[in-house]
Amino acid sequence: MEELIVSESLKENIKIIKNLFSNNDSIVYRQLKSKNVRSSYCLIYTDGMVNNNIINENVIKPIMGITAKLSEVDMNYIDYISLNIIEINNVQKSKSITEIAELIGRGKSILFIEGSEEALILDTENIKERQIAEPPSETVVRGPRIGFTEAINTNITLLTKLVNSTDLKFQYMTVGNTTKTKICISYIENVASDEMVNEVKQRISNIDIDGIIESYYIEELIRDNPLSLFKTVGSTERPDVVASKLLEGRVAIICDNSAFVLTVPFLFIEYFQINEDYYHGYMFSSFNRILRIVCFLLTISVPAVYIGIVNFHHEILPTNLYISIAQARAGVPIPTVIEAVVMLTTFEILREAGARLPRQIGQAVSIVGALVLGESAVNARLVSAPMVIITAITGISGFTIPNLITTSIILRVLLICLSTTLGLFGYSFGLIAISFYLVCMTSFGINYMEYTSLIDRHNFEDSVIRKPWPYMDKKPQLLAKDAIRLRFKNRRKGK
Amino acid sequence: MCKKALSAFLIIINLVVMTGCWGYKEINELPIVIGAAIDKISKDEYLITVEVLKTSEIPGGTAESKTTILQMTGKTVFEAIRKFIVKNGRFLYWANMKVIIIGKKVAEDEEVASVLDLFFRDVEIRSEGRVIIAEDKAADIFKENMKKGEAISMQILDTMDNAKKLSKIYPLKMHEVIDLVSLRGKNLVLPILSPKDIYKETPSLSFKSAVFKKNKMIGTIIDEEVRSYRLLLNEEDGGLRIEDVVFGDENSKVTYEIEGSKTKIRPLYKDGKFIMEIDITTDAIIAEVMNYKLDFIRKDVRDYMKEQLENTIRDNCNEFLSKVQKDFDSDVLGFGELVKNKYPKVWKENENNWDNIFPNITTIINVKVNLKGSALYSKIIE
Repeated sequence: MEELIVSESLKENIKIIKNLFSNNDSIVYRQLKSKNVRSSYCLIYTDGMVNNNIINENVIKPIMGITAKLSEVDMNYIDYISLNIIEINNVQKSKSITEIAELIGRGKSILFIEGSEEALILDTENIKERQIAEPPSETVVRGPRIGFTEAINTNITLLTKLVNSTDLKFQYMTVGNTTKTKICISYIENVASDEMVNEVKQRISNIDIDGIIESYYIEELIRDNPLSLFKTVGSTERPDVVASKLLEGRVAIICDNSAFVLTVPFLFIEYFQINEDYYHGYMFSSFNRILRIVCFLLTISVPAVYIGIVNFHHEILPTNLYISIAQARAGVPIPTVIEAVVMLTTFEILREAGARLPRQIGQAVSIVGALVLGESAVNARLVSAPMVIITAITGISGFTIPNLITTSIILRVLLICLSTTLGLFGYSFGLIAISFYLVCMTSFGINYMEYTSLIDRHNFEDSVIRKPWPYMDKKPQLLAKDAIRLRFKNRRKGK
Repeated sequence: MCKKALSAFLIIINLVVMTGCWGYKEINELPIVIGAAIDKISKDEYLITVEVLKTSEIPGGTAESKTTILQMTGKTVFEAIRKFIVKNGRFLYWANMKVIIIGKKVAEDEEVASVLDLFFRDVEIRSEGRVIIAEDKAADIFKENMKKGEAISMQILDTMDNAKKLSKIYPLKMHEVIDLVSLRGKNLVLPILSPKDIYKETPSLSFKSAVFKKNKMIGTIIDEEVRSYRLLLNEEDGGLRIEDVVFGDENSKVTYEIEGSKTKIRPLYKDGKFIMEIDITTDAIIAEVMNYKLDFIRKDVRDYMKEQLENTIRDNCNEFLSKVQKDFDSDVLGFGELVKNKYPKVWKENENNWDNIFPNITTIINVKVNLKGSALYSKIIE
């Protein structure tokens, strides 16, 4: 496409813009004339995206009031307007019509001046945006109650507020051929490795898509294993999470119109590292983290192990447990596997129904759910009581790691299939296969299972447990260039 | 690539096939056998009686559920077991068998190992079940139960497990029985049960055990003898000893509670003769004194009591030893194994002649009793 440039003729310029925005009635073309002889102007902006007050008071009024003769202006006329007349903090010049057209859509006002080969871009932006609020997807008991919004500027502000350093870098890019979505790559220089930053930039610039509506588009477009069950790009709604990840040498990708900021690389252990771990006592945090890891194992294994034992390896059960399971199963007409699949599917249906419904109707779901999954199903002899417990454990354990829910559903089904056909042997094959798969994965050049695959002191620090802060003196070594988190002298020794 | 995929596929298929675990069985479709009794009814016909839990009929029942008794005959044990399918409609599930009762006739006909062979050989059966000899016919123990329908095997199992406080029953698990039968230097002693004992028909109770020589039951030992057997095996964990203490003018029945005993048997081989040195250390507590005038706090009284207890223990042990040596000629304490471990060469020379050597082994018994106290109350109660 031929690059359009601003011409000297005001009429011509308006014609080009009108042509570009044909059939778009939201664009306002305000023609002006000032008191001096020569000039006529045209102010172009999108209705509703600008602050009318500023336009009236700081643009239109001064321009109309210009009395100086042309001969009295001792500089380029457009510079004169920008320097002396317009009372706006941010004014830029541009020649490119394409850029101008894009900026109109971002809430800027464009001032064309007769006889000038450039146009002024006035920062009159006033886009309605959501209030900063606590993110509903990641609530905390202790920690900042602040979340990102859909406006990229606000999000950058929030980050800068947390990490006030000249080393904190923000670099803009545009993605989306039609939507022209603004994206910002953020990292801390001297902490994040240059290769990582370049790799991220490279991958983002390779994206060739018509539109980005949510940052998840980018997540899936830049990740290492696009079809994988496991995420290799992290996302969060919380500035504190992003800030701490930046400090560890990760790179953040902020996307306009999305409250979710991406961080790369994303390692497997990050599923289990929750921001609150770092705001609570280390014992409590470590306990919670171990609990989460156990819950992940439970949520993928419990039904499979139960099916394996009940259908193949009866010998494992102690006699009394055997008898109580056998009695509970007595009279249930369907095989254990079908029972499990039915119950787990019901659970997922309830979860999905609850997630989409307005809160007022949501109660109905929970009541029906309690009936379906509970007493009545057992009394009706459709399912056995142990299966209700199995379903409950499976479902509730899954909720401890919300990010992993999708993954665990699929892994669970896989393991159920294996243990239905091969018993616990199949189940162990499944686990082995999953481990192989995880170990083979990488996220932006870092092994996905880093800090979890090897048992040593350093790996232990912030993976299975959360070390007390005075002793967490190193950052994750593979990520951060500057690995020191806490100088030794700051550590207070208790008696 | 294709080759790689193919070999991976083959490996996976092999892994899957070689697991050897294809049987998909619903847990509630397996009738659980919790106890079995084996009798010999004629020269080559066995009668198998099994106690099976009824699970399918009780919705939400407890573990203490009702059982049914089934009986079947067969030329071998396995044949009879297979025939149960017709009686029950399903394969019996044997992994949870808790008790296996062997009829006296089977035991006396040198067949304990033979009838247990199947249970030990089969993959499905856990060799955890306690082996018990019936006083008469094994089936009687279950037959009595046909009306009541309670899980009698569970009761027997609990009795066996908790019997260590009495020290008069020494139950063995199936795999232990098999191990003992195959040893040359040690013989088997198994507890004997009769329906009378279980169904509480009489208030009195005697503890009997069957003494074996190899596979053959050759006699019984009763009460204190079983106790001495456990003590000499270093297996006495508790139990009571009652003594008539006569000191000066006073006499009183005193009950001692045994806290635990340690027994060490050291074999010696000198001049072609075997000597067994047996050291017994017993910790006892004075648990019941029936005459308060007996002042057991006094040192001389205590020493007297101690000595008396030591003598009783020594006498009991000697009595037991002479019975197994002279009457039964059955090395139930495993003297042979001890000799084998200490003097392997001597054992090899005498292995085949052990039956003749065993009755003439000299035993020296040293008993030491520690009176540890008088329970919660240190004084005499006046």
